[in-house]
Amino acid sequence: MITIRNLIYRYNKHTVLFDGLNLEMQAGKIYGLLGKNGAGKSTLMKTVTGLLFPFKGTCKVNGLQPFKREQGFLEQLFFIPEECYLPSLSINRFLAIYAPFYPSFSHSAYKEYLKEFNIPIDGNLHQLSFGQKKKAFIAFGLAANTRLLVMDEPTNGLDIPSKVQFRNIMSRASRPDKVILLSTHQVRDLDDLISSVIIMDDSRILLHEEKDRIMEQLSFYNKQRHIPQDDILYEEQTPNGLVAMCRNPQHTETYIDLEILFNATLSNPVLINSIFNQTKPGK
Amino acid sequence: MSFTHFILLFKRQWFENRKAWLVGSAAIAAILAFLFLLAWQWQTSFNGDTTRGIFLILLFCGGGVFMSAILNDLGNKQKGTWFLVLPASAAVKLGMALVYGIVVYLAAYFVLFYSVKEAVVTVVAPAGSSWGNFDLFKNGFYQFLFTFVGFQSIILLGSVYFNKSRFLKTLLIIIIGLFVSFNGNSLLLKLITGESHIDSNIPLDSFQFTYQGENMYVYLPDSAGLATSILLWVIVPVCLWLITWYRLKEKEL
Repeated sequence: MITIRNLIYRYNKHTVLFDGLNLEMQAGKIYGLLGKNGAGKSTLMKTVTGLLFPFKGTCKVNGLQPFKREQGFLEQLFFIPEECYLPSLSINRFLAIYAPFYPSFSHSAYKEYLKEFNIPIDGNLHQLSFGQKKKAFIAFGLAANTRLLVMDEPTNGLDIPSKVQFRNIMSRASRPDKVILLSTHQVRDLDDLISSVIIMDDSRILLHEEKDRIMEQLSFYNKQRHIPQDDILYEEQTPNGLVAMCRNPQHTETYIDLEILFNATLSNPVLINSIFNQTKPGK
Repeated sequence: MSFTHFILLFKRQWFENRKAWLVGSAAIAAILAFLFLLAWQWQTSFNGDTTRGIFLILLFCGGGVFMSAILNDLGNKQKGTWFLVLPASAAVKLGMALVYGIVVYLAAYFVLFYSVKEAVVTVVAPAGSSWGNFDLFKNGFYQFLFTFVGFQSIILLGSVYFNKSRFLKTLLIIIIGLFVSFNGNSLLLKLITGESHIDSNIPLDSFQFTYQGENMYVYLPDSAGLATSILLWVIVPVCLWLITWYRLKEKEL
């Protein structure tokens, strides 16, 4: 559904950000885009949403080129930036103005999401706090039922109960024809939601794997138990003790610690990729 | 171009800005009243038709400010993102801005201008006085409306082209453009005619020089005048709209 081929993006003549980026995202999945500050996550998201234009190469979403910002493309896109704008209107007026722009918008779903987020439907947007505004915007984005939903740091600004509400709502948002792309620094907020992990660093994609495959190939242990040293790929001291990421020849199912995976990938991307490349289906 | 989306954008613009516009309308009405009273008070000191002068001042000043604010969202990252990904083509978004900045502003301004003028004349001018008479079609005064369309088109282009201080930068460019065209035209005329005493000129229209102590006026022939009118009033604004449309399509945030 999203196909990026040999994408080159430049800030200016001398500063190249992406130099031949390739990426494919399939419908029906929730992608978690992880990366440090300045890794290129926001630029990638803006390229996919048509807010930035590739210098060379192609980016296609359902066969359409985002940079053209055609109405048909925009009707199937909802982008929730880290800091979102909401006009000073009542929620009902906001709904009346903006919902008709999205052909698949569900009014009943919007009301349901607002209820779950504890936001009164007859309230005014300008009276809401930052977190409430964000929740109202997220509810609108989900109710728009677009085929591409892009969220930049969706849990930033949300309190702990709101994060739980967000996860509950998001777990029902996936559809077979929909791609959801989330970027986050706070991996623990979203690790149950995402079905595929994309780790970026220095404008490159270091790892792009399904969570099922990660679980199949890697295991994560608190290092109280004995683990053969050869199986350990990465280990890190955490407040809960030493955590190790290991090869998983027995395909034992363990909880994927995305933070450890992220740090391990950044510290040795070649090694981590080699594990998945060796075991690619068909090899 | 989708008419449904145009209507949706039109409604959006109204509901999000109506309070500011109502305040702006009140401000324009107050300034008009003040200027009319000023002109009435010192009517013997002003030469020419002050009513027309007042009409033009607020037509251009108010219209410019209004037009530059229509696509104000583009100057702000969050608002700009929301506006650019809103499902409507760049042509529809531009069409909405032009209708508001030219048609709606002109209609609202006419209502304000005539209402305030009538109110002031009724209060201050004696019955039967001709002071404050205003005929848009007398002596081709309506032609300023075409100039207004061109002016608004430049302001709109500037509001899409520049990211910061968009109205001021556009005004500065208009002033520099006028300065260069009038002085450049004068220089060109001196070169072409060999006449060193060209006192005034209007590019693509006329010039005046002194010959043996007499003022001589030279105008373009009617056919050339018609061609320049079409160029300035039709072709130039349409070209400006096309450039603005292209800039809006190419806008990155």
